[in-house]
Amino acid sequence: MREIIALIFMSGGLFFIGFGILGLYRFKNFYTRILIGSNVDTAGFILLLAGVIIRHGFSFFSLKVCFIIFLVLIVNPLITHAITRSAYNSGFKIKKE
Amino acid sequence: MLKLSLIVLVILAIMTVQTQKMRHAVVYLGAFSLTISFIYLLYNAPDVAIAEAIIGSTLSTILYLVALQKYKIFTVYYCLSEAEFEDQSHLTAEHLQFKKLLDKYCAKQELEPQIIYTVDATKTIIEHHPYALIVQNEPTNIKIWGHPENYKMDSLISFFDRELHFKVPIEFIQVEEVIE
Amino acid sequence: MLTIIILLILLLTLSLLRILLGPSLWDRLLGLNMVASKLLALIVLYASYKGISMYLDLAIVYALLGFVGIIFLSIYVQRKGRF
Repeated sequence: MREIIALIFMSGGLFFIGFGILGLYRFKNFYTRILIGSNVDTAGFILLLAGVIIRHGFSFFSLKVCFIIFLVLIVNPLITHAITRSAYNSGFKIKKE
Repeated sequence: MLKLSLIVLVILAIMTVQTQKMRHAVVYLGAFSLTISFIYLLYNAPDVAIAEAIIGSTLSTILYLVALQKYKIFTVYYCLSEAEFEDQSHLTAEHLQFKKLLDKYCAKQELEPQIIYTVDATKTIIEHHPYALIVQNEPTNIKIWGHPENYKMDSLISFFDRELHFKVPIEFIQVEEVIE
Repeated sequence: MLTIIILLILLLTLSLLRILLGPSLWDRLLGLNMVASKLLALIVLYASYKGISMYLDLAIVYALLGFVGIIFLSIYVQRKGRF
């Protein structure tokens, strides 16, 4: 029973990551692409690891996975912000609406 | 699973060697070292994988960037009209040929070109942004503005004089320095 | 479980294509970020598939150190070649 719930969670994570990659190729504008990529990707990542936690129950393995989720929640917005600031400060302008 | 990862590894290695621009090669090398540490994990060697992840993705990237500081960055602004900026597929053939020649010149002089497309007028770029060259395409000729401190301008002019098969006339303008 | 791992490797290959053909340097950095995060999820799934909790140490090292290279590259580009 627990295995089936874990598989459903992991499939949801794969679904979100697939939509993120679709958005990476669909949009023409760089700033839209980076927003879609980072947001959807983080959501899919957390759902995928939640599936792993449910699969292993309450154990030492799950504690390490919780620590990884905590680290990624801090680091991933930091990287996206650094890339976007670098692109904006170097003069990579988009067309004004 | 292993075979798919090995194919990805070979593609990344070939792209690292054959690319022209140095900064893109550093990015490819980072992706290469990430992938190879996953392959070490698949071969049941997690300790080697940890060492590769620390050294390959952090230390060697910083070392290559320190080595790349020898190259000077050459900032080139391309002024386009709005229709060209929307859809860059219908740029003219002369424009593409000019871009290829500029890449050749930068590779010869050991410069690293950084190319930025914009729709702003040339006057606002001269006032507000740091630049080395501004290129504007007109129907009959190409106009190039150069920065007052750009000491590569003479060699650029003589380089385009020697390329005889490039037919479009080029007009060079050296921007006067404003003394306040 | 194995099906999910193979599907994730296919998605990783698709996002790697963004590195290979992205027009500007920042597109390549975005692709590198996405490849790194997918590889992290892949290592956790592989450790869960084998049931060995030692493989998770590699994932922790990735999450702690993987961002240093990307941040140094973006700072290098932003300051026009000087640190």
